[in-house]
Amino acid sequence: MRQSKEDPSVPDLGLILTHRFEGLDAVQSALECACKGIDETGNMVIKVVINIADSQD
Amino acid sequence: MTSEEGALLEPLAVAVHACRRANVKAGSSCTVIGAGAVGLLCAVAARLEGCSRVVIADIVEDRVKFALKNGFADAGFVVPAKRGASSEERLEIAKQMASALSEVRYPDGQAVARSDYTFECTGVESCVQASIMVRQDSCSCTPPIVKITHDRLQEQVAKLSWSVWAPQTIFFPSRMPAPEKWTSSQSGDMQTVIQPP
Repeated sequence: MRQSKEDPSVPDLGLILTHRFEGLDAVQSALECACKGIDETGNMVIKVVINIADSQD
Repeated sequence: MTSEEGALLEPLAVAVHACRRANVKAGSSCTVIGAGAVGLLCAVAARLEGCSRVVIADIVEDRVKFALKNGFADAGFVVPAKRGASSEERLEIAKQMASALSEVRYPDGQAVARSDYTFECTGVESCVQASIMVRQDSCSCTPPIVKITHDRLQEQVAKLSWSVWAPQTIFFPSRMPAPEKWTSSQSGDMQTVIQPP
């Protein structure tokens, strides 16, 4: 079990972010992924994040 | 703040708000219905408020396994996929779900029975009803999520003819103007709006 670095009794909340997309161009794909609840390889989708700032660096 | 922290902030705010509204006490037990982001974070928030036993339920087995494997909950329950055609059928489904959920056991063998708190994180009618049924003394239900209006929740409560305290934690599209593009197709999950009570 991955735990929070700050509090070992708390799971690593980052685990909830199951799918990551880069940039505004990926918004449509990210929304579709979030709505389907399952990705192209059959893995479940819990929370999707679009990294915008990082992709603009 | 990174994009990743920002993505967690909204459901975490919902979860913390729900726990505060429920006034979760140390040593208590809670049932979380729905193992999506909000449900998982409700489980974490309840634990941080001192809840010592958390059971989580979802219709998707992988989500329940994920919650258990990663320490979000102590016990899990996979909800049978059933859709009632009438309100009577849905109520019966809710009763069956509540009954089965109460028989789930924690790792130490203790039955879930009825929990001190319920966090209903799906908005599905039968789940809302079941969330009330699995409560310890049927006086409190905290729906932190949003696919259901408070008016609709009160309808469900009225059907059960029970005395239930249902804090008006969150509103949904009927109360908040949602962009048309979000209300079309299958993008319903993007309608999440948080509003202080």
